[in-house]
Amino acid sequence: MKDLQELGAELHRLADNDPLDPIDSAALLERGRRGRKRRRVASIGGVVAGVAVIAAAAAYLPDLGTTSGRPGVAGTSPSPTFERTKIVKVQKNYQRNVDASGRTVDNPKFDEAALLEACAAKLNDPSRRGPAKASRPAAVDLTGWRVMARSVQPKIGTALVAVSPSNKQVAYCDLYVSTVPSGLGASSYTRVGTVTAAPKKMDPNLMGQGSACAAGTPCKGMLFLDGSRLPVRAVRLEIDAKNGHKISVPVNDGYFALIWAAGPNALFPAAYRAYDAAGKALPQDPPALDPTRIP
Amino acid sequence: MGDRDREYVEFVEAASSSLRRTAYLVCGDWHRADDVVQDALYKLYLAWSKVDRSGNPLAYARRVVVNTALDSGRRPWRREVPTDTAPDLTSYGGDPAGTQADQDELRTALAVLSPRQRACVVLRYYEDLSVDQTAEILGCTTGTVKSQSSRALQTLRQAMTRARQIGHAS
Repeated sequence: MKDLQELGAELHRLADNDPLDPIDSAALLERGRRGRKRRRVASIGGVVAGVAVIAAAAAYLPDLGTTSGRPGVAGTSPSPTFERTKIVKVQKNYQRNVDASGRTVDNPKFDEAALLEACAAKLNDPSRRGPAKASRPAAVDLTGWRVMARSVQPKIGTALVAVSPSNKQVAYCDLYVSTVPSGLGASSYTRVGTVTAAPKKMDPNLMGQGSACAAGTPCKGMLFLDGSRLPVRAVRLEIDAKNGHKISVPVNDGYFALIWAAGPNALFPAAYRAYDAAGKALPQDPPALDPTRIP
Repeated sequence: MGDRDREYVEFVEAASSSLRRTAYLVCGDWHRADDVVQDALYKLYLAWSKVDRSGNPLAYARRVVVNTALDSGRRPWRREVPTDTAPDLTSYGGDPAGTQADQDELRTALAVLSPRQRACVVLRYYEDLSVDQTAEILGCTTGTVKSQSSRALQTLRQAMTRARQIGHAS
């Protein structure tokens, strides 16, 4: 036992003669920041490459986008060219997004029934639903649904949340004016699902969806796209891209929708805070991921 | 500077010297220890949000340092070659003037140990960690820690005795 204590003491004496200067914490921090940035760029690149590979593979799959799951019989099925033409036409119909009064979907006064119709058309578009879902016979009908929240971005489009008359189903949609290239809505969150109870606590990891505005699109930097449910006492949600651009969107029964061109150098995910009717901020935990700047 | 970065810098300033001493005892060279600690602290920065939440960043950092030190020894240009004779003192950062005979003996003896045995000795008798904590850091069983420590102590005793005999004879 004694020689173990001696060994410990000798080790301490040996290690105490550190001849080097203290480690430069600032240089280390700089190195860490660069490494984290590289990782983020690599992960974004990986996602983009993955999507490109899937898209390229999907382009070579036969019968992708046809409405029937049955194999074609020689001489009776329409040609692939015909099918493709039909799908493109369907897409154009709802991408035009013009109501009876000639208003485009980026207009806050766009007719609500037309909005729901356009949302249903997008939900039912077989090219969006994929080959497996396309063969599903049940089409989504949003007639009589209530628009709970809506957000408009001029020259781009609108995002909305609607619930069914029975309050059991919820639909999220992002719709674009016809001049917007289809790539901008690539990370579309258009979907339909079951209504669940509003959360008791604020989700600290929202604002992580959207698209980078490529050349030729009517926006710069980041187009944020989100829709979710907050605690029911929230009445408004303030979002700050930390580049001088902020937005406030209404929250109705916990639902909010967001489509927002936040401009260059936006923080992604953006910072946000929800407020109740008394103007008090709802408590919120820090997000799991640190934000990065989108040029 | 954000909260995350500030906390990280405070941690580095408080713990880097201690971590470098541990790394030195494991790898036997101050400059290599410096590289090891900087690599480990860089990895720590990338995982800081997770580490900080765990509540004991020093334990995590120590684990990364020891494993980075062991990994660095596996790199081809730094691979340790087993030998039945104790290396020259200067190859383990020796003291050519011969003014610290006891420390030189210990350095010589440590150099004879395998890297994992050395890590066991350092964690058990320098860091005063338990067998369980040592096993967790090294990713092995408690039985392995006990056997490695026992063999390491036996080798250290023999090496120090031999070094003392050589010292007396000269």
